[in-house]
Amino acid sequence: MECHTSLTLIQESFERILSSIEQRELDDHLLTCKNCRAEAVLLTGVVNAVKETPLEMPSHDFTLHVMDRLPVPVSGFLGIPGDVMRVAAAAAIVVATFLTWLYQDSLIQISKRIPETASIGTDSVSPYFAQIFGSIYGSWQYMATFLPPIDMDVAIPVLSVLIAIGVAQVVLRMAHGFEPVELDEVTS
Amino acid sequence: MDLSEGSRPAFASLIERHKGSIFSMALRVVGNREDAEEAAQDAFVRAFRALSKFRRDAKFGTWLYRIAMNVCLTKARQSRLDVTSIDASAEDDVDSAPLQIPDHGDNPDRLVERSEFKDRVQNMIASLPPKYSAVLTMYHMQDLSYEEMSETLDLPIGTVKAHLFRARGALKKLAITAFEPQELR
Repeated sequence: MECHTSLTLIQESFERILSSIEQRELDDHLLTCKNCRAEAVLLTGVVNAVKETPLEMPSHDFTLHVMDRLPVPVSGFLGIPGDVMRVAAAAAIVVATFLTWLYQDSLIQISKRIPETASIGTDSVSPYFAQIFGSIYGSWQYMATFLPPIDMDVAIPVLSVLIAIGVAQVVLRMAHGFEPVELDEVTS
Repeated sequence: MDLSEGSRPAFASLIERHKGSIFSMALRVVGNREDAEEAAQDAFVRAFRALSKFRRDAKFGTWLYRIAMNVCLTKARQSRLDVTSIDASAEDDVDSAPLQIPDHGDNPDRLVERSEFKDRVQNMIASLPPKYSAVLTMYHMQDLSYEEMSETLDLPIGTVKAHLFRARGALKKLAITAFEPQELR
């Protein structure tokens, strides 16, 4: 038997029972070839060491850690089932978009009155909030000088739709118990 | 146990049942306890998220093992990017002519009985390329069949066998280089 065949048979002996002829030829070769015999003993020793590797256990609170990381079951929010919440989110987008379209003139008018409200200050809101609102609006006006002019007739409906999508997102998050909604990374 | 509805108590008992084998595999593949624990946790969390995709005709352990193996191989590749030279050397010459191995008697048990030999071989598994430590762990430690390994690794059975053959050769080569000749006598 060639040494190459002998080495292959030694490897195969870890995976299957050699036939009686193969075993006899291998034994005969190992009796005469010192190098293959050394190879067989070392390889067997290595494989046996692998087999005898004890089962390692993780930390004692492993299960608790995993359970803490599991997503909250999609059971909804305040007793409302998750599926209902999802439908509600979709409905919120549709309704908000429809209302935006229906009241777009009013929204545009409101947007045009914002500067006046900010300058009036104390008439309808408390001085504290008027001051905050004035600061925010002042900052926005300052930043707006660096931006191209915004067409409020377009911006307000777009902003409203974005707000509606935001509301729908919040509803969806509630349906998931405020756990991050992730795509499955595992393929079955 | 109704797992499809994400029953948490049922899943907790599954974690208890499988955590040893999953963690052991993770430890051999990624190489240290901290990363292994993280990988094992990730595997269980992913499995929980994917329970709805679990086929009833499949074996849960194999399915879980597949998820865990994917997590561990990804983590091992990330953490071993700087040891590609070791990987390459371990893959080289596995099939070539036999190395000069010191004669250590006729009984492999003499080697294994020596605790330092066993310990160091077990540590060497983690220094192998991840695909090799994976097949060694699955075949020799977890007693998975070729079919289960093929399904777990998503590789043809022939490739699994070739990996196994090369893995043993690479481990043997590491053992020869890691031990002084007199240590193997």
